[in-house]
Amino acid sequence: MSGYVIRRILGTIPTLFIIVTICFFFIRLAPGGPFDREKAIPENILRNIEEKYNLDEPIVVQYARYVYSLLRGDLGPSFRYADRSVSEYLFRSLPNSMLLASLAMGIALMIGISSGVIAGYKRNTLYDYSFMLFAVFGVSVPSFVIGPLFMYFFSLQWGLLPTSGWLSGRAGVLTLVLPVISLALYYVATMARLSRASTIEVLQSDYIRTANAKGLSPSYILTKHVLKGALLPIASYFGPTFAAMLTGSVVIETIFRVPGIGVFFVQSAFNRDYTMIMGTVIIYSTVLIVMNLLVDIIYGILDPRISYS
Amino acid sequence: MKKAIIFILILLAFSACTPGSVETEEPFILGNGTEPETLDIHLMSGVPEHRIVMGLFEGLVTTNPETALPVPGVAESWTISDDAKTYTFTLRDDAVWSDGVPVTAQQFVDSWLRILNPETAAPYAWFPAQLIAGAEAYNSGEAGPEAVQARALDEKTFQFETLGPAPYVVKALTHYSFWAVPTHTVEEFGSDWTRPENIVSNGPYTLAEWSPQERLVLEKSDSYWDANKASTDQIVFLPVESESTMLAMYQNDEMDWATTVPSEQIDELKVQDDYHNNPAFITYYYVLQTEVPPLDDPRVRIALSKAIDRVKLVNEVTRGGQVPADGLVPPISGYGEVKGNRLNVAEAQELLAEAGYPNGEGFPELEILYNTSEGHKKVAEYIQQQWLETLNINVVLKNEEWATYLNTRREGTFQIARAGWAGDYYDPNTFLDLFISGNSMNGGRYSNLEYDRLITEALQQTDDASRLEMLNEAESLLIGEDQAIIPIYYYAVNNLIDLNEWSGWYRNVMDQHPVGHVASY
Repeated sequence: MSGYVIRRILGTIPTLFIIVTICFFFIRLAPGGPFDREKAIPENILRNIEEKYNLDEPIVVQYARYVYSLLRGDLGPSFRYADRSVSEYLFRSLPNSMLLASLAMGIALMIGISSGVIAGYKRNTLYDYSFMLFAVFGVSVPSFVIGPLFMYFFSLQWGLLPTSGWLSGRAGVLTLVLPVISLALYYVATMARLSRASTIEVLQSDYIRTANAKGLSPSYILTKHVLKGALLPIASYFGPTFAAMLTGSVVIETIFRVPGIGVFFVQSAFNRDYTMIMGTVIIYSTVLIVMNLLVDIIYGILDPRISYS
Repeated sequence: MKKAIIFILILLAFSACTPGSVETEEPFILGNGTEPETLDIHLMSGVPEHRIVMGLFEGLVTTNPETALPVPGVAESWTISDDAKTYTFTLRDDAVWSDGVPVTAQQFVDSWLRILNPETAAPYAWFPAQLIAGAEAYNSGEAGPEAVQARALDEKTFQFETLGPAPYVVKALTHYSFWAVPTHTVEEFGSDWTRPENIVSNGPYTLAEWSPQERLVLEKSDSYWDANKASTDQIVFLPVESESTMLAMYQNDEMDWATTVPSEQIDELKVQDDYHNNPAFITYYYVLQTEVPPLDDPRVRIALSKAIDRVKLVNEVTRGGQVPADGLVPPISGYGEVKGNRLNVAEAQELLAEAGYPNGEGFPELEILYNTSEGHKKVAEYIQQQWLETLNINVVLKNEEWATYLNTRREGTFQIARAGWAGDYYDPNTFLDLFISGNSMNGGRYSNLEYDRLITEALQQTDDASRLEMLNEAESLLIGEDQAIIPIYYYAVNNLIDLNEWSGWYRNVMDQHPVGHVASY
């Protein structure tokens, strides 16, 4: 097992290198540059700026320069934010996004899986119908609708929670509630649907029929056999989903003023902030790779047919 | 439900543990739009940054909050030579940086050389370069720093020469590109001089905290020369990108000043007396590609302008207090009106027929380009419909993402493009010099030698009235006769602030509100 993990980790290095290379050249194909503003900067000043950031050099030289600094752990200066480096912004914001995504994922796993498994187990009951109705709602209502709606009711109408912010002021941890729930809602719904479907599938499989025939108690079958089988599709869904939550929560982050990484992931592309784009892509890819590795390990634990030795 | 209640109770218990800060006075909290890109006045170019540095730093002259006109700042007085080209400023003795070091004339000289230095790569270097003698040559690398005509006569006397007798020089000096940086700490810390632990400032406030994406806090400076003036002890700038969040925070008393308002909410907010709407020094217009048929014919361009009902547009489509625009330059007192080509359907149809397209027959399809946004789309759709109804010509709409759109506009590969321009200083010249032949903002490739001559010669006029007259004549050429661009409306700015609670905040056309003047009653 540990040999497998080490091999996988070593395998990520060429993967990351290829991603960095492709990304470096592709983002420069987009029209416009990092210093385009509504007030166009005069030619000679633009020339000075490009010189300062080495953008006047041949692209291959720029690439070599970037890879060299990357190997020393330097993500370079941002083309947009003059006072701090890319690493400083990203490593400051990453933990906030991590916390937001982890809490939302925790809620999604707990509520999503348990309600989905129960719905699958009690198929075609009132519970099943009502929860799946909620799930359809959760999947189809976008976060830019849910967010302001929650803010309107919980803050403005009922005065229960602060509108936005992040662990700041007198509100403290209360600021976490709205962004976490808004972000979790969609994933609660999708996980419930996934686990319901897989529960139904597992319940119809031969080994459950065997277990029933052996006379095992329903609760034993549910927790020992059904749950384990039903978790498999969730496990493969978990990895990419967590990565998506991390960088894809930009709408939630903007609405609730979460100082996270999502805004850099999106804004840097609009700003043509080349180094910031590279930084976010590297972080995103790393998270994705690590998550996929975790998924494979969890698979090995959940599914006895898989072995990595 | 029970679980939810328990969850909320746990959270409440947690939040009770967070220590409540003991404040003698409530801070002034404002929603500042995007995260500031920098606090280095020589590297910035945005509005959120400008709001912050108006509290942190001060130039030779500063902005009167009521009129947005220049009043003495670091300089207590100044004289202008008879040929209106040499300016001599006397700095006040008690102007000091927050570390106690005096603000000197030499620091102004060094600061100007810093922003003009090609290696600084300052986005606003063009501003001093366009006004100060020798500055352009240094900035473009043609000459050394000795070419720049700015000098310290003694510790407290600063002198410089301008290229021409431009009467807006003192107004321009309110802009941060002409301010001084603490050269002694810039030298010591290099590019880290703006960090909270290093930064010193000479304005009414000092930097107390800068947590990116969370908040930036300014605290009243004891060393400021006018420290006794009424102002709040603490100002908190919150980066709030979402307009609807900004409004919710304001309504929930989490914020004292909302610097923008979601346009769809304006109708509801209009009735409140803490809602402030006023015309801005910003123009919304369409640039026409004047080199390519059919828009190379001025008759066609004028016909297009005369076919737009701007009054209906601002009343029924944009609905945010915008003002229909006749000319490019928003109304300025002392500057005459420009007779633009207003709505006149009959004349529009006649002109189009004269140009060879009676009732739009044989007129090629046109394309309007705008940067992706619901607002710009609505305006373009409205104009598309009007041109179809009155002139019977077909227009298609095209939107491009911001950077792509800017690129297209600069390269001039469009027929009609939406554009906006905010004046950098309160003078018509800030709009009119954009359309000099070959200017990088002139993507429509407008070129009229008479226009170029008027703009350039106006700079050399010592008499302000005749200068403004020449500029007015130039604008009449640009808009009335040549119709190189189609002005559509002047923007309006929207703010939410309770003026019964806060003093020192005034509406003004530049939408500039020096935070150092704001105080609670």
